[in-house]
Amino acid sequence: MKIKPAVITANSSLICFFAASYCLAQSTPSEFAQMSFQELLNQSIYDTEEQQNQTSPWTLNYQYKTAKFEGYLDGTKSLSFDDVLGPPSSGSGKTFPVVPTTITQTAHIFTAGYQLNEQWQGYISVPYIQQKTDHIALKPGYETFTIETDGFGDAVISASYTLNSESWVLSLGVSLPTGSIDEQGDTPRDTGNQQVPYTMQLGSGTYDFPVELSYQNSSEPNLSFNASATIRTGTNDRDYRLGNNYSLSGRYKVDLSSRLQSYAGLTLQYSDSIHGQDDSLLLGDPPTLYPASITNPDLYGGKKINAAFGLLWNITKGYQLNIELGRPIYQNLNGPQPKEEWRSSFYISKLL
Amino acid sequence: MESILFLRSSYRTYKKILKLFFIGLAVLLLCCAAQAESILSKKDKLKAAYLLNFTRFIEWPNTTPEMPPAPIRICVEDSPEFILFFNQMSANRNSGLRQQTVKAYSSNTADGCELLYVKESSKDNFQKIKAGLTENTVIVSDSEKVSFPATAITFYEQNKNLRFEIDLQQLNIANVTASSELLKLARIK
Repeated sequence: MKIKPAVITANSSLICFFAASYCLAQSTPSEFAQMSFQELLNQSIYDTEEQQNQTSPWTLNYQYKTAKFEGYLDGTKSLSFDDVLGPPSSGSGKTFPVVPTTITQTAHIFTAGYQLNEQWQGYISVPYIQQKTDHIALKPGYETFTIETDGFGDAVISASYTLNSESWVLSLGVSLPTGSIDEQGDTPRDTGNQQVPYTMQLGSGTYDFPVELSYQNSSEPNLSFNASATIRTGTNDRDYRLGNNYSLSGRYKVDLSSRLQSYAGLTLQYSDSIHGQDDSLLLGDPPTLYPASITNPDLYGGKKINAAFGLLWNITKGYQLNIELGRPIYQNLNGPQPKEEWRSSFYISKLL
Repeated sequence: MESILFLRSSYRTYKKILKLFFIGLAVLLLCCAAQAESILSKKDKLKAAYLLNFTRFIEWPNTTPEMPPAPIRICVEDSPEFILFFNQMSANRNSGLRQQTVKAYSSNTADGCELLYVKESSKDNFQKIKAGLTENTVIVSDSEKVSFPATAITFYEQNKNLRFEIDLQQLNIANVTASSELLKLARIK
């Protein structure tokens, strides 16, 4: 709870900074009307001296992402809550005494970038994550309940290399296990607080390696492609490792004006299930029963195709705004697993 | 018990503040963005001033000194801010002087343009604008990235300054005469 005001403060500072630095001096039509050719040739194209002398290699980004999961899928088959709610199961059982009904995940991602030279750029990003899960359960007193977790997630340090053609960019990074994997909440498993399932944790607990290769077509049509993966290594302190993620995406942009673009894109995603297991999430003695689908490491991962639409606004030199809304058009999940409903993101970047 | 109730109440208040904060953030950014879109950059203003100056140093076949000066029409791709700025600038330039009137219009509606300023390259765009062109239209392209048929003048940047390139062949095809003063300042293609 003590961290939240820090997020507000950080956001407020960013807004003030963005707003204040936007005040640009403007010149009047009459001033330009009197200029001769020679005077025009001597004029700098930059609006302010500060902008003209801008040599800072720093960029600052803020991204707000949210996703909602509701309903269940087993493979591609839809399941109702009644199909999933039932006695606890072990192994490949499909019923559970606790059923998450709605999962909402939100991330505020703060990123600082540094341009080392024309080819290399370095980044460090820190996410602040908020998660909320509504449940139904068989246990009296817990027929409906909600668990929330929030805090800083895994920080990522990465570097990108732009090839000479400027069409290809390769990024490599390392994700540090700075996010908590010990989040607790009041679940029907016992009285008081207990360890909450994998989805409610804030980090992976392992050193992970995000890698990305992107291509931007430099002429018409305005197409871009991206291949990315998150490769996870080792096992965390709770004896599990989240699954690797792989994705391929394509995006087509249309110029609405010189500064505003709209785009549509498709993303193919594949995620592994979780390797290992956090035994503290299980029921029974010895612990073999899964109280909820999200406590079973095999019921994670699958394939998805997401469609997304967005707007990209180059507000001024140095400012960029991006709004995106996406929804899966195909999901084949290792289920029963909560189904993704939609996701959205808002992104603003500022060249310092 | 009271402290728990207080904590719950504080938590709800905090969530309300957080929601209001993000709504405020979105509104502020959209307002800033809308304002930014409505204000021209200095580069655009310089281009407008260059266009106005081009009309002083280019002679079109139907605007010889012997004829009464007819207004020069500059057609601009849909950019109300640019057109407004250009016309204000042109009005200032003309005030008190017996010079030829220069006025900017949207290329979507105007025809018979003496000068056309294009910012986007596409076949569709050309087809759309083609109707407004005459054989004497001088086409000015916004940058070297813009590919538009029969472009005679192209803006480019050099060391934080704006420069222009002239394609003499295209000027000849358009049957217009550029003054030697203009050609001296240009990069000749």
